[in-house]
Amino acid sequence: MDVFVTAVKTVRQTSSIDAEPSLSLIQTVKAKPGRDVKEGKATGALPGGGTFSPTATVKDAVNPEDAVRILRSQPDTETLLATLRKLTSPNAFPTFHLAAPGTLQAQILNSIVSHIVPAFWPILDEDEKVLVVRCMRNITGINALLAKLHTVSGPAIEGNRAEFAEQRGIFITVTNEVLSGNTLLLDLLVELDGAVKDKTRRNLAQKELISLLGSGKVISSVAQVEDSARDTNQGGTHSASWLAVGSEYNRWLGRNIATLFCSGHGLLNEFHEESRATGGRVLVRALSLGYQSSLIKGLVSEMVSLRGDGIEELIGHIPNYAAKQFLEHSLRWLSQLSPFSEAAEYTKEVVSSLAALLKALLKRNPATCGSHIRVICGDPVFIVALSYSVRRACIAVLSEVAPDELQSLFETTMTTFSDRLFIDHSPVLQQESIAQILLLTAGYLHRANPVAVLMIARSSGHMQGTSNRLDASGQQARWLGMIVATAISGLVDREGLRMSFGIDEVKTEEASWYLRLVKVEDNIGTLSGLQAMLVRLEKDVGVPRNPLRSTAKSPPQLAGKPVFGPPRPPTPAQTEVIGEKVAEVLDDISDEEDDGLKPYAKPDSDPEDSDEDATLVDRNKPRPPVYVRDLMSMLRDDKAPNRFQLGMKHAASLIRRKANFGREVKDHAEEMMGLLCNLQDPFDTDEFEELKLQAMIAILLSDVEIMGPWLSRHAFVEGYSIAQRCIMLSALGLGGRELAGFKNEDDLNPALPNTGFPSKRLPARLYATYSNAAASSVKALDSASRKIENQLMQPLALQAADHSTAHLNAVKVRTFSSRMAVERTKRKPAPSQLAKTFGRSFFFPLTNRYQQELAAYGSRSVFASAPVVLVTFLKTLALLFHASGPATLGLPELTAELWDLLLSLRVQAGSNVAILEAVLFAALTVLDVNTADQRQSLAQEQGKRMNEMQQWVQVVFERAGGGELVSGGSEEETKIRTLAAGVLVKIGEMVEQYQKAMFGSVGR
Amino acid sequence: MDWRQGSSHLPAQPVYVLRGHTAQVHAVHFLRQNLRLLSGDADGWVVLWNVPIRRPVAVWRAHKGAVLGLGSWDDDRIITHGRDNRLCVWQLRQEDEGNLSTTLPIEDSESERKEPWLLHSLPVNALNFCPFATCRVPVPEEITDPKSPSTKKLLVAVPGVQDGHINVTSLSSEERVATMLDPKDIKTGMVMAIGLHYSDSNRLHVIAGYESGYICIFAESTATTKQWQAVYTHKSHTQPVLSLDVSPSAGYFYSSSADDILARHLLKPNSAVEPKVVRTKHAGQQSLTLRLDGRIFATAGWDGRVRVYSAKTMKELAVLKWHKEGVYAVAFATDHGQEAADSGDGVVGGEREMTVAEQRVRKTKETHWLAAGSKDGKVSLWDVY
Repeated sequence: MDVFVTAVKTVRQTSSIDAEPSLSLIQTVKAKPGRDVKEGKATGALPGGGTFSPTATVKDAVNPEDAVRILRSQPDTETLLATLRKLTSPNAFPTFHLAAPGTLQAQILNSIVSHIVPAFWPILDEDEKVLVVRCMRNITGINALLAKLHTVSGPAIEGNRAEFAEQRGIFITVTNEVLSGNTLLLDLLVELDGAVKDKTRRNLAQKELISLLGSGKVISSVAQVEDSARDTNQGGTHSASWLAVGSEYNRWLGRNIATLFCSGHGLLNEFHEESRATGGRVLVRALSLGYQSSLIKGLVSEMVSLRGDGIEELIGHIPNYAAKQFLEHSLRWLSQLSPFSEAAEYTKEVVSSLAALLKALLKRNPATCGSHIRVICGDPVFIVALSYSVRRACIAVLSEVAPDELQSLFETTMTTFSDRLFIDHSPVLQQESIAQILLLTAGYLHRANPVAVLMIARSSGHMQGTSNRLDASGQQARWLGMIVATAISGLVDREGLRMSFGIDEVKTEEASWYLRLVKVEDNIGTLSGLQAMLVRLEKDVGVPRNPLRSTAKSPPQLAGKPVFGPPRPPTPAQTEVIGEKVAEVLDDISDEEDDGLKPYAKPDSDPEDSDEDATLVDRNKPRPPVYVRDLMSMLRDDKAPNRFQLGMKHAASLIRRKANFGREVKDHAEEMMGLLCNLQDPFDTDEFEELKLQAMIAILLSDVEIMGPWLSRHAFVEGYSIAQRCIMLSALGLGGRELAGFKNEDDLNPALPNTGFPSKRLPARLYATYSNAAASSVKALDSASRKIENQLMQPLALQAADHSTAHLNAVKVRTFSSRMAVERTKRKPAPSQLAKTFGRSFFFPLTNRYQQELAAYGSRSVFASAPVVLVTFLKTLALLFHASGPATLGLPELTAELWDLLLSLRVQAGSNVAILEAVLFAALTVLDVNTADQRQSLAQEQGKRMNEMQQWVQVVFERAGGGELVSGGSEEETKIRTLAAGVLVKIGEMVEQYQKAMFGSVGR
Repeated sequence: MDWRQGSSHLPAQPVYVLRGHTAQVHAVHFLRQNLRLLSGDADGWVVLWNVPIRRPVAVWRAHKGAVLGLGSWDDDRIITHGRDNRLCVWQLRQEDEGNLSTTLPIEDSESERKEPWLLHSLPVNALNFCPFATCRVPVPEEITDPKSPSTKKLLVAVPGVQDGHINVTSLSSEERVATMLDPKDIKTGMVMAIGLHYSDSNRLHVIAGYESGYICIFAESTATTKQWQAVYTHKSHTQPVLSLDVSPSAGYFYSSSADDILARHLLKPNSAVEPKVVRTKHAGQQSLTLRLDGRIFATAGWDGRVRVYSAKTMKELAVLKWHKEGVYAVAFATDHGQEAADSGDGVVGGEREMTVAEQRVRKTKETHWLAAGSKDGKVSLWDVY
């Protein structure tokens, strides 16, 4: 901080004090080399002819025009440096500043860029490079550089191709240098302030600066140059410059803005006001660049580490319309910092640190920002994207900074929570989030203003809402209603009059967690606490790999033990050696005899070289891993193909073997899974995808309760490729099926009558196809992985799904009467292992994260933009649902949730055949699972949804017939048509059944 | 000694494993009647071990780069050759040992340790991996003064700056005695191993093994011109020669290489006799070392095994397997403790029983040690033949 302050001061002094002393000083020092050169030249030039044109011999620029001339006339190094020094010294030309925009400056800088830099940059030493960079560090200079970058990146004309290629590297380096550092923005503004006195002109220049930095100009220019450098592939592979990486650039920009706001606080003069306004506008511009997290990360980290109160001024300089956007992105970034499933031990201090930041942000403008926060917290769609810690921090700050908003937030959330439409149609996750906000707010409000809570609690809205809730069909919705009612009643009612439902469901661990929310009271921490947290997170990110590296080294010592064991008896192989020896003795006996040394026996292993040629001998034959730790070190090995491949090959079997043996697998499960999720194949391993998938399934099954949700969460985490997401989903789907008993039906458990297959009415032939779906899908992946090396991975679930559609035939063939007959004699299938844990470990983690993803990223999410991921996701859900079967715990709830999800995808399904197919398939599965033993209940409970679905599928069915849905393959269209028909038939049957039952009861 | 009844001994097991280095052990060397063992690693650390009690007595970082070779000059001077282009002679008498650090690199590889007194530091070329070779200059019988053996000169041979050149320097005068150029008619590549030997006629012979697999013996052509010429050239190896050792008593020298060939050459150049070549089927044999009595020799194998061969028949006698990774260095005990054997059965001068420590020292002196240093940073001690 101090550094920046002094920098500002010195500049101001030199510009305000009369320039004479420093001027003379510079001249006496700098004139020397110039004079030497002149003399040298003069002696050479005089004999030829005395009167040359003066411009040719000007070596010391007395005015800026001279400088232009010098720079254009191919100066030698000494002259150049003298000129540059003059240009950069603030007092060399009294009325001229490089920082001020103008034609002369543009001429000078353009000639530096186009003539000086390409010629001189490689030969200048460090100090001199700094000089050039200092000349370029102004708006005109950066503009000139970008323009030049644009030229060099363009398609080169034949002649200057090589020249351009060389210049690309140079200009990228120069741009890097010019833009490096956290003080660029501040420096530019300071210089501008010194150079341009006229306010209007200064404003214009500032605007130019804003559009220069805040737009994607820099990134796109540099990236374009790098691209073309890669295309022509000259000068080897350049490492990507940070300027071309959006996130890096934004972090840098964030840091620069932070420096600007943290410099010279307390000096409330015009300059600072102006520069901060510029900073705010740059920030707003940059928010639209698409890397908000990086931008805010850079901004906040830097501000916090500089410890200024610039952070408080920040919000004042952001226009109102952008403030909400800024706050939203900040909250999102904070949510990334404090993940959803963070261990509870940290929550308290994390919340107080986050609250400290929010408070600092809101401090200057509590009214507006408070209302922004209220709107954000009251929005059920957005709130899903925020982590629990952030929600707590928001409410805590709101109660501190804008207590008035708290009440209105309470009212809003109460209204939302009680709304019938919201109860019936929004995903469970949104309802849960809103309930949390509601309870938190109630707690704070009650402490501040008990009467307000009492008023609302007694209002008809709340009463109606509670009864709406109790009336709801969704179990979770009902449960939430009970919890909220109990909690609020606990706040406002006297002992003895409190509401109590007295059922077991509201006495669970989760319920008491919700009830405790009204007692949560977070204090607001300090910014240094936040800084400590940021530092800790940085470390956590860096740490995990290293200790593992070191532990990975130790096994050889352990494994070395057996050697000390009892000596082994000579192996049969030894007779061979003796025979050889005899031969050799015979050979040697002519000239030498044995010297009486008795040989030692061979050790347990003494293999001979694998190859005659010494250069091909492979001495490090890896052994199969025995411990999970070994396995991990083998998978991390990116040097030795043998080791890696062996590890890959044994991964699944080792994990399965060890799954119930001690805690070896459990302790490393998450780490292993993370490793596998990220694993790339560096060696072109055979069946890599397949082996990886098998290993992932093995880990998943070793601890379904933890790994199911973990994997579901990670399928949505930022930074994975589409292929990786698909394989994670595939692992979930196939793992779930295996859990339900669908795997190895022939080998290990051949005759299981009740494997949890939903409807027991398939003919044997189809049943066989069906139950092998998992196995054949594995094969499918196998061939797919080989086929699509550089394309998207074909999701494995796809194949399984295709097979599953075969059962439509059965659906169509069967008549009603026979169906009823089967129905009566059928026993209810025993719940499989999957059925018990499906909702908790697979279904809700997946759907909840999907909702969060959509809430956070909307159409930018990979789940919205890449149909293949969505299709895999849907098919995974459907497969799991199917495998879990009718005995699933909490089936009605799952059905409702999945159905809503499917209905919400109608629009997307209309535009993409693959999605349409997946949606129909999932719908069919839902119907199938639900009709297995209680067929009319679905029509009873979900009548509205069913109706909606029926109408939509009807439309799909009709359109599919006309051949307008798919342009290319009629096969796909047939498939769609078949699926749609299946759904319609199912629904039709169900309705009919329902009606029959109803009329039957009436008739009786 | 009932195991002698069988047709062969049981597989050998290491007697002890010294764990002290973090980097690959590149050289090991016994000195002071086997009471001390030197080991040097790829980070430049040198450890002097007390063999009877198997503890370090001096640890220091002799070189900035990897240690290439270790040697001793009488009992109190230690020669180290490192890849930092230096060859150092350190004075380390028994009484100096107490002053030096005994913290092993495995415990702390960062902090500086006190170094012993440096007597000589020669700038040498160490761009390749060739360790130095030493040889005492034989002094005519009549002027030998048995009381001051340290006045003897020592010759040190190291590779020269250019590929294929060898420089011979005399210590302690640090004078360049001779420079061998590589033979012009063959392509030699870098010098990989050097041996020094005085022939019967007191002429110095320099033996060199080259990268291309060639072995050459150089001798001074005539006393007047001082030209060194190759008197014997043979390409017995297909891969770079890795080590060679001389057995003056038997009149042979042995060489090993990166392939699976071991070769025995006559010391007296005789082009009529082909060298005896054995293919061991174990490629990568380094640090070939003859025991002082010339009966057996050992090689360090990149497959993690030390192999002991009969010097006479060149048959494999023992395979010492313990290290999991490649072995880089082998050393035999220097002296078989003749005087210790003479001193009677556990009685010092017939006056009293030996103390435990004395017995230990005596046992150490008598043991036929073999030390092996490996890539895993460990030094194993064996007792063979």
